[in-house]
Amino acid sequence: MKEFYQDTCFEKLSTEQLEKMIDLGLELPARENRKALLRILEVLEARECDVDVKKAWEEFQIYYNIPEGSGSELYETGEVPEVKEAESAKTTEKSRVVSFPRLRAVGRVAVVAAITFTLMITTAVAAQAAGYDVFGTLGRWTDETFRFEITGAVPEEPTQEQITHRNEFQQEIASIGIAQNLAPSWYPEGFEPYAVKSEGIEGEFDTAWCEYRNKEEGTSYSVWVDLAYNPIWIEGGSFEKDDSPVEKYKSKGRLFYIMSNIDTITATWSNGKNVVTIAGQITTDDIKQIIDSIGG
Amino acid sequence: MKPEQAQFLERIYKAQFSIMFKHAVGKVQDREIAMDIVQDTFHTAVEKIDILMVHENPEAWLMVVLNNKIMQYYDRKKEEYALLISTEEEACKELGEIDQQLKDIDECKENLLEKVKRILTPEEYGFFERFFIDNASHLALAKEYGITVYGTKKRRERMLAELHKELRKIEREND
Repeated sequence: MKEFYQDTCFEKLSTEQLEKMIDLGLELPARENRKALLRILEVLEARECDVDVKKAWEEFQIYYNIPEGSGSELYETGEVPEVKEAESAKTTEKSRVVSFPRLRAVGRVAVVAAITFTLMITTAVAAQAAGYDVFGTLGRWTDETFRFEITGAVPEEPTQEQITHRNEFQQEIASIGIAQNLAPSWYPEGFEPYAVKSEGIEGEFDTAWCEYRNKEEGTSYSVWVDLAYNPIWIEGGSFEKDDSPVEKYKSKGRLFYIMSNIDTITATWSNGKNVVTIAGQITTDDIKQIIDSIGG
Repeated sequence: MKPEQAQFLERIYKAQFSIMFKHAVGKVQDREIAMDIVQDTFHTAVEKIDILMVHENPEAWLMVVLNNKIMQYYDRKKEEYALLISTEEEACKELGEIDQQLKDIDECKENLLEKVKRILTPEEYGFFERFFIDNASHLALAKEYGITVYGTKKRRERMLAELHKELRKIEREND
């Protein structure tokens, strides 16, 4: 009976047979029933996405790429944003800081909250230009000093493995509708990408993220790239932090805010629609190198 | 298309198709519709090959176009629903208990299909049933009717326009 729901067993059955099994119900004890059902659904889902690319290419030439289709579309394309580094570098008065999902995620790696620091950047650039020292005020509020450090740190050259991972992560970012190159191509020595995933809430936000783990040291960090549809996910948000000052770090035209919470470093950037957050058990120097490798 | 453009297209098609198809199936939950949308995305790529070839991230460009077309698919479904189902809204307003509601919905659907049958020819009705009730893909209908996929799109648009006009007329006559 145990062999019945070994993985390979279901893969050998036809789709029709598997669907019949679901319809009739599996005559097994409840727990095994559920496991078997889940496995059947996994096999069916994988088959659903199987496609003969060669056949699809042939059909494309016969049915879609034809003279009658010139100037026509079955479904409208809509706006396709151009990907220019200059555009993604605009951090204007719409700059905001993230985001309720990050609270949950940072909470997973953060240990203790010493002080809760609410970072609200509303029309910061305009206010600054008008002569009101917004950042200075924030700096004074949070600590005695507020460091303005703009460095041009040169990151190490990414390895082939890192480039392959970057491309995979970038595809995941593209799958949620972001055309900009926002995937980092560097990660610290000892770390390996663990999982690249995407998730979201319809009408609210979509997120593509990757977790990196250092098995030797038992540490980790993650990179999230968000696309917010509802401004609430951009306008305001809280990061737990200790009493170290918030550091501003500019790289390729993007202004990141770096803050620490005991053993967790967080860096975040936003252009009002997209948000990049890097957080975890790494050093500030590492996080700056990761930032420098974005789009590289 | 120039030879280098055709080579570029074939290379990127074969590299990206599976990923895009899997993504589309996940979004629209229908293999045939997903196939239509992905193929249409590559058709758009052909139309804009000059842009795509020099784009710094052609894979991302394709995904953005794909997502836009998926959204368009859902917008069209809403449009069809608004036209076909909402014309029965007045008739279904007096819905009572759940059991009665289910009976009324079936009755509404029957009423609607009867009206559509009166408006369209038998051949047109067959197309209507396949496209709007069975949710067949453009490719499936193109094969069944011996027309191009773009021809099926034009038929859909003409049919919706006619149904819109005639169903409203019937509604006004019944008032």
